[in-house]
Order: sequence, then structure tokens, then C-alpha cells
Amino acid sequence: MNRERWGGTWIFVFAAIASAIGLGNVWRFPYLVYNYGGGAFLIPYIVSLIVIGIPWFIAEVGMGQIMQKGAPGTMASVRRRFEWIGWFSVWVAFFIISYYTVVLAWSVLYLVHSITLSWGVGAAAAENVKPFFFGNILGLTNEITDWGSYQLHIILALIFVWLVIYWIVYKDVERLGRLVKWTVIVPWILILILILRGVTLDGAGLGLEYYLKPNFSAIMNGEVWFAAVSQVAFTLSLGMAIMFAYGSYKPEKEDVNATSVLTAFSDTATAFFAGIAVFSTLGFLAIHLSLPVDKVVASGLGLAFLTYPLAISMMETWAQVIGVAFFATLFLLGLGSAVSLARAIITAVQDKWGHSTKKATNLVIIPALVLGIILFTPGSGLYWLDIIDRAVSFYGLIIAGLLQIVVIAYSYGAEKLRKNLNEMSFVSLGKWFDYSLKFIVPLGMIYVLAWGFYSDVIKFPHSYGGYPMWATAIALWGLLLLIFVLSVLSAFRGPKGESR
Amino acid sequence: MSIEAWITLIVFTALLLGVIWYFARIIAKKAKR
Repeated sequence: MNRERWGGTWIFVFAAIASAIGLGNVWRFPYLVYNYGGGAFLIPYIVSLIVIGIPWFIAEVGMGQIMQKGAPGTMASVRRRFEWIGWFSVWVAFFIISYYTVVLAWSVLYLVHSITLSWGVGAAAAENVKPFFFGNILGLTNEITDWGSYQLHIILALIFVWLVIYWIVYKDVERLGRLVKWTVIVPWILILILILRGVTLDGAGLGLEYYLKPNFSAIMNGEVWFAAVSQVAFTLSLGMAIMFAYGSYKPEKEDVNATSVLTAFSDTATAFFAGIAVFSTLGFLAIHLSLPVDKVVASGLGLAFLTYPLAISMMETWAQVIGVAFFATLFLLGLGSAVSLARAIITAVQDKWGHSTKKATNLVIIPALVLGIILFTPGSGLYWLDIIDRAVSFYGLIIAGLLQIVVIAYSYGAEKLRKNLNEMSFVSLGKWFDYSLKFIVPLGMIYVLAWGFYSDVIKFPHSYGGYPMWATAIALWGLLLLIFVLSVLSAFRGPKGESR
Repeated sequence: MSIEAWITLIVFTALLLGVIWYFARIIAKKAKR
């Protein structure tokens, strides 16, 4: 059977950008810029992007394209015994999508609540945003040991999110590409609207000052480089089997190098401009609360579900419109990434067992939805989400990426890959690519892993995030072990890794 | 905003959009052939 195709270079480019830009571009990157040297952070970030992110991205897309298979099939094509490494990244993707969709479900709920500003208007909102998020939305329990009750509204929103994902992925990739293009274009328009609203608020300049003013001494700090390298690794959808799968639907002879650079820089630009929307609004919030900007700055869930809703409530005009625009941006950015995670797993299943797209989609989506409901929608769901996120989207992703890059650089050969890609690409890679893939990318990942392990285990002996030791033993280290076992089982059961 | 913040904004906006424009043009030109 002929392999599916994207149906054009631009469809692939937009699908790759849709995958790369996600929640982290809005809620993580701007915070890192602010926290690690302002505008000066962009220097280590862009250096990391060029010497680590882009070569890694090219390697994943290029290998998928050359082998015409997803991550497990590509690894198996290099050496049969490496197939489990591909499955490792597929299982990482499976666990990530199981909770990533829950965060999207919260965004959907907030999108709806933005219409009435359910968390309060004006000064009342300052008191209400926390009880609203932790109480009304999450029903959060006091302790991780208290499982809590299941939140029906989250379950319903989660089912809605999965139905949308199903609708996008259950047919061919060309259709998928044409649909997810809108998860790039619409958020770009919405971010522009958020920027225009943000910079016209009083206090915007103050917020942007914190975001952009460079402190060049930060560049010499090891932690700043850790932040830059890890953000580059997380933002480009690498280590999660996605780019192998997406590359495998390109024609065997098509540009990889130029499209990869374009994708990586489009991702960075989206994050940089999202930061302008975020920090101009934070400046406005600081002025209205009579607090310094550094007292209102937040990242991650705190920014999306506490700080930004509060800022929206303080706006005298357009509050609901900006609320809907912000949560629609989060939802659509996350949707493009979730679709790519789903498709990466579906591709791996199809390559191995030859199922139709529809059957493979059902096989992937139903267990991920059930897992998401069981673990992340009860009152203690946020705690488990936090630990499992650390396990898979930090350790799992970096370990998978490191193993895959080592296989590509040393077993397949970095030089061979570069020569293959240069023959079919619009721009050529120099020898620097070989050195990057062989040494800089693996060393960068080892650096990130070592720094993370040091902060989680050695620096804070009470275990990651202050959770009880048994909880991290199960959901962090135990889960990584489980993923390893599942990967080995997936590789050695069923047909021998060959595409049908 | 301070002059340093403005310079950062202008330099990085130009850099990012410049790189995107350059590679998008290459792809648009060559992908047609």
C-alpha cells in the first residue's frame, strides 16, 4: 500500500509549525525571557536553537523521510535492536497527550467562563481567581493522598477535546494538514489582537520593560543555559516521535533543511510575540494592583488560569473579547500539538500492525481518554498531572531524544544523513551539522538531564516538588520504568517492525 | 520603555521575521518547480 502524503510542502510546514507551537510558547517562553536576563536571554536561546534544536529537528524529520516510517520503524530500519527506542518516545507521547488534553479541557472551560467573567469583575476578581480555579474548576483536594471527587464538567470538556482531535486525525494526513493549518493562522491573528489590546493598556510599557530590557551578565550563568537548552528541546515537539512520523509522510526526495529552519524560527517568533501580549498585560495588572511587576509575574498554569483571568477582569473595555481570544489561542495552539502527538502514536501503530487510520485512531484515543479521565479529572488530578508531566515531558522526552540522536549520529551516521539531506534540500548543511549531532546535541541533553536530576533529587532530598516520596516513586521513577518495559514489549511483540 | 528594551524589540523582531521571510521565499520559489 502506498504511504499517505501531505499533498504539498506548505501543508507539511504548517503541520510542523502547528505541532511545535503550543501552550509553552505562551506561558513558558515569555517567563523564561523575563526571569533569565530579559532580552539577553534571547542570545543563549537562539544559539541553542541553532546548534541543538535545528540539527535535532532536521535529524528527526530527515530520518522519518528517508526511512518513510514513524519513530519505531525508523529506529528498527537503522538496527532491528533499536526499535524499542522509537517505542520509548511513542509511549512518552501517549502519556503526555493523556494529560495535555486535560489542560486543553480547562482552557475550553475558561473560554466559556470568559463570556460571563465567572471569576468576578474588577477588584472582586483578585479575591476570586484562586478559589475559582482550584475550587470551582479543579475541586482540588488539600493533599495528594486524598483522591477527591471526579469533576463532571472537566470530563465533558475532555471528551469534547478528544472528539475534536478524533475529527482531525481519523482520516488521511493531507486532510489533517489542511485542518491544523488553522491552529496556526487563527492563533497568529488572535495574538496580534492580544498585542494590540495589551500595548494600548496603561502600564504596558512597564511590563515590556521587564520582558525586554537585557541584562547581559545573565549569559554567563549556567542555569540560564539550562533554561535555554531545555526550552528549545521542549518547544520543537522533539523526542516525542512526532517529527519522525510527520517526516515519513513527505515524499522521499523533498527539502528538509529549509523547511526545518523555517519551522524553528516561526515557533520562536510566535513565542516572542506572545510574550509582548503577556507582559504588556502584566504591566497593566501591576499598575492596577499597585504592585511591582515582579509580584504579578507568573508562568504555566498560574499565568493562564490565575494571573491572566485577573488582568482580563480589570479591563474596562473588551474584557470578555480578550478573555475569549486568550483562551481560544491557548486551546488552538494546544490542539495543533495534541493532534501531532496523537498522529505520532497512530503512525507507529499503523507501521507495525498495518491497521487502517480509523482503527489505529480508536486504539490510541480511547485508552488515552480513559487514562486522562481516571488520573487527571478527580480533585487530586493536578498533583498527579504535575508529577507525571515531570516524568514524561522532562525526563522521558530528553532520554528518548538522547537515545535517538545517538542512534542516528553514530549508527546511521551523521555525515551520511547530512549528505543525503543536502542532495534533496534547498539549502545545504555544512560539516558543523555532524559535530552538532555527534557531540553538541547529546552533551546538551546530558547537561539538561543532569541539572534536572540534581534539582529534583540531590538539591531537594524531599523529592520532586515536595510531594511524598512514594508518590514520586510511583508517578515519576516508576512511570519511567513502566515506559521502558512497555517500549521493549512493543518492539518485540508482533510483526518485526516492518512497514506493511 | 527604556532605549535598551526598544533596541531588543526592534533587533529581535527584525531578526526573526527576516529569517522567516528568507527561508519562506526560498521554499516558495523552489517548491514550485
